Amino acid sequence: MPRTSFTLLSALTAVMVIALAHNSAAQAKKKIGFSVYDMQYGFFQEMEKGTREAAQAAGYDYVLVDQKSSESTMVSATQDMINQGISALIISPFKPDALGPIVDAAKEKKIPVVIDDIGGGGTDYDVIVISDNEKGGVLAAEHIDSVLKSRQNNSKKVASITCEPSAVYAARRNVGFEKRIKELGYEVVATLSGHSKQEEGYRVTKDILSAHPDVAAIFLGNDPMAVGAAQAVADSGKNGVKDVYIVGFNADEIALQAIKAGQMGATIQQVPREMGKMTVDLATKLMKGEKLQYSSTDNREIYVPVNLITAQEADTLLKK
Amino acid sequence: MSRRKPRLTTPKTQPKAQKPLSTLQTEKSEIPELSVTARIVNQLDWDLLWERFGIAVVTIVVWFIAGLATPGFANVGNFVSVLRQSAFVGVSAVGMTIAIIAGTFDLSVGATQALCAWVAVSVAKMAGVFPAFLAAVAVGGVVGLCNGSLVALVRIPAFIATLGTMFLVNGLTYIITNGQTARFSGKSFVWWGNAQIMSVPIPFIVFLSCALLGAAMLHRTEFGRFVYAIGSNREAANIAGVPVAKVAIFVFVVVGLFTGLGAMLLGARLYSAGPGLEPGFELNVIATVVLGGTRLAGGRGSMLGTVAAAILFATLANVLNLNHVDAFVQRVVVGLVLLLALSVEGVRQRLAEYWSRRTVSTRHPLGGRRSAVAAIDEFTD
Amino acid sequence: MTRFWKDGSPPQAARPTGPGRRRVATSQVGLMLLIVGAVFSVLAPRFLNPGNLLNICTSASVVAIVGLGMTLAIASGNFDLSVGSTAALAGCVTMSLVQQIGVVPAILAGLATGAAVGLINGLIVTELRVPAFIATLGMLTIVRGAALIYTRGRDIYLYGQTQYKILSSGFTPVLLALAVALVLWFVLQHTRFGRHILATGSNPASAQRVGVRTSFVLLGVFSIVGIAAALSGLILSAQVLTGNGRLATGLELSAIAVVVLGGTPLTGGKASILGTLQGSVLVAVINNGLNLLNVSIFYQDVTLGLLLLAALGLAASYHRRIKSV
Repeated sequence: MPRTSFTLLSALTAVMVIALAHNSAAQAKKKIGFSVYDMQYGFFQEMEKGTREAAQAAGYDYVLVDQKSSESTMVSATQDMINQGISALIISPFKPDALGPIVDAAKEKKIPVVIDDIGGGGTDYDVIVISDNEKGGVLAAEHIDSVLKSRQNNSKKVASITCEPSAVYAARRNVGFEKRIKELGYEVVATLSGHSKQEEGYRVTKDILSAHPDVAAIFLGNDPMAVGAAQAVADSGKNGVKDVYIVGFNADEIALQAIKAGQMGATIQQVPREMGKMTVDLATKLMKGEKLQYSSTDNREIYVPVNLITAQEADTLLKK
Repeated sequence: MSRRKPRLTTPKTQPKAQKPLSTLQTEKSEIPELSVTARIVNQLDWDLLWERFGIAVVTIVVWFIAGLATPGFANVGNFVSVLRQSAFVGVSAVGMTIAIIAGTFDLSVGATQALCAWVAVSVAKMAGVFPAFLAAVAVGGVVGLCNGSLVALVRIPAFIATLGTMFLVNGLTYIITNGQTARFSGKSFVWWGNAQIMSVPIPFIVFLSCALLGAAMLHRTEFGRFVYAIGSNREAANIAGVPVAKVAIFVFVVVGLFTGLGAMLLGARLYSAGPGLEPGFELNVIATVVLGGTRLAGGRGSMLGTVAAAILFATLANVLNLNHVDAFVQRVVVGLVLLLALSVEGVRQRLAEYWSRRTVSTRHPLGGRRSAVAAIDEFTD
Repeated sequence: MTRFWKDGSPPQAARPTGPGRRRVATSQVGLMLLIVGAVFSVLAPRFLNPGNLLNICTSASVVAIVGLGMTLAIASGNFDLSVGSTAALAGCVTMSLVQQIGVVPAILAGLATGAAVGLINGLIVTELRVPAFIATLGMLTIVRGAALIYTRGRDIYLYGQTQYKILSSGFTPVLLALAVALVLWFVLQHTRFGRHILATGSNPASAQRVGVRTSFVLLGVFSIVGIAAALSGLILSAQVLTGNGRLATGLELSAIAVVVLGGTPLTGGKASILGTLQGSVLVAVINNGLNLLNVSIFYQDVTLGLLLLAALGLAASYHRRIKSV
């Protein structure tokens, strides 16, 4: 017995040594690591596509991890990616507040950190590319105002449906919306949560229509919910443009289709694919040691505009 | 009344002569020759061995294969990462192991973890690490006390009681925090979630200590014996004088305490904590415990298995990421691993039945007196 | 007052559901329903609107259908945690096929998907001997992953599909829920299969010795659960006319909650179809009422938790008083 265990042990050691040696081989090409919020959502699929295409076009190796809407996975998977040896980190964080350990780990390895949307969590990142969620909500409010002003009915009632409660950065969309719409003289009769789910958007909208049949417009924190809302309005015998004006957020493909089909009024477009490309460019600059041009130097932010997409623009976007 | 002594042997039959030693060897030739290995294999209780050590062996094998097949796995930094990641589910799983051995379980650990983590981070910000630890563990204990009372005193089935507590605590956390996440990156606090001692991550050391503590509680204390008793047969334990209600409450308190500790580690790891932390955590914890060899029916379990299962899940996630497996496929793989590992006993059982051609299985697969699910509600009738 | 039986079957063991105890459990849910309904009618102005009531019934129906399937599973002594993922997969399959093969064949395909998943669940439980809780927990992630892989993470939006919409418009969901309830009630009360389900649930070993083919019974039960989950998924996807892999996350916990609220004991062997229906309506009423009153989402969670505990606490204390009689 002792002889067999000795042979086993030495075999094990040999294997481990070989494996370790294999692993310490140097890597030639630069590698960009992208850690994404959750690939279940169209928005992040677009962002990932933009990042990947830009990285590959620039000749980098590309590696992706999916945080699967979990901050624990965010930290562990991203840190693993850093341990594997990347030259730059691009991250779209599920919970920006939990970026601390990631940024610390990256700094230790002298890897530049580029944050793609959501938020920076007050950490020491190199740059953040951010679309202004709050401004998007304001944009939606002003658009709704302009649409309703030209209408016959004088209903000043609107509703606001938020994403899931833990998505605090998406919540800013509704905060911005409600603040601005109240300034414009409207009444927010309901602020409910659709939990970012499409079927919840449907159900909650049905309830809102039940409670306030004269509601004139609804703003929803993301497009899946908005499409659900459009269906709810249609099922109540009304139209999502003429009777209850529905505005979503993200410019997902399903929303563009709904807008084009006249079932939904508008959406606020973020440009995830372009943001992805932008982050790769910024990472390249940082790796070269260049200085960056910020939109706001205080927080090292680079703003990306949000656009209002109505029926006209939806058509063009879909064709792309 | 005859005075004749009763004849013990009839004269015609002679008592058998003692067989000489040499004939024992001829007797043996009637038994089929079995090699030493075969006889050892027959003697061992494979079910018990698999239950106790199965997952540990699987984990070692997986590490082996991963070290060979996956580039980037076999380095110190990666091992540290895997071990560290296993600790957050693991600490809670230690408490859950005790609960499941006792024949119950706790679905509220996820919500409790969020609350305790937030408490830990907030208190650490104001008062330092040790008060944060005390606060987190205390809050966990209080939640456990509520769970225990609901299950043992009000007699609500554990499934529903802890489901209800889960919703309650979840909502409460949102209300207390107003939906905001608390952040704190003080060095002495985050050390607990991120640092290493000689390349062994601190959370893992805490996890192992908790596992040892849990195992000690189970095997060396009266409480542990009561836990096993209640888990095997609650009524018998009750009749035998085990204070079932008190033990049950204490079990839930233990779950809460461990969850609170794990929560503090998680908050330290993430430099932050807030409501909605880790949805689905409770199912991960239960899966870890069951994967580790502790069966939901209760009465038996393996703390070593829990440790190994926690490491296995962390390893799996790590290896899948290193191999750039698509996130959607990862979900399928993790589920398959869980199912495969748990099918081993069933498959072995069926093979044994088939080979021995038994017509009536003495152990019904769905359980004896009651089903496995029913066993969970032993406290309720 | 009706006579109440102690725990365990009444002397006439042939009847799977005893009259007294059942009435106790369901009347509590019914009572809570009345109270909560009354409260909301007073507080919320448009609660009793026919449109709103239809709203409530529709969202209740979705949970009720999968809850009814779950009732069967729990009565047979098992759980099925994979119903949410099954609903999503069925929805995705159907939505992807509606335009190719027509509405009715697509619906059948979706239901078949549900049955297939249910069958796999059943096989894992009976053949591989994995406890149902864990087996369906594993299938939860597998089927969810399968749905996401099938749709490649994309949403399939069929905004012009008026035919398919019928599944979710007007009274259809309610009628479907009632139909499912009737069928399952009939199966449980008046067929041998139903009695076998309850026998398997209360004592599998004895049932098998008496001649019940527990394996087949469970395969049937899980298949039914799968079909019910698929039907719920189809209705949900018809509501939003989209097939996506994220549909119905968390449906399993809602389903189990309404079953338990309805009075079906988790130990198995007994089933309350009416209770499940009432439980679904109760949850729908609470969700709807709180939305009408614009109550913050944080408080809605707390309310649901309190509701569950209160309902079960009442039931438990009631049963304890019974036992002491």
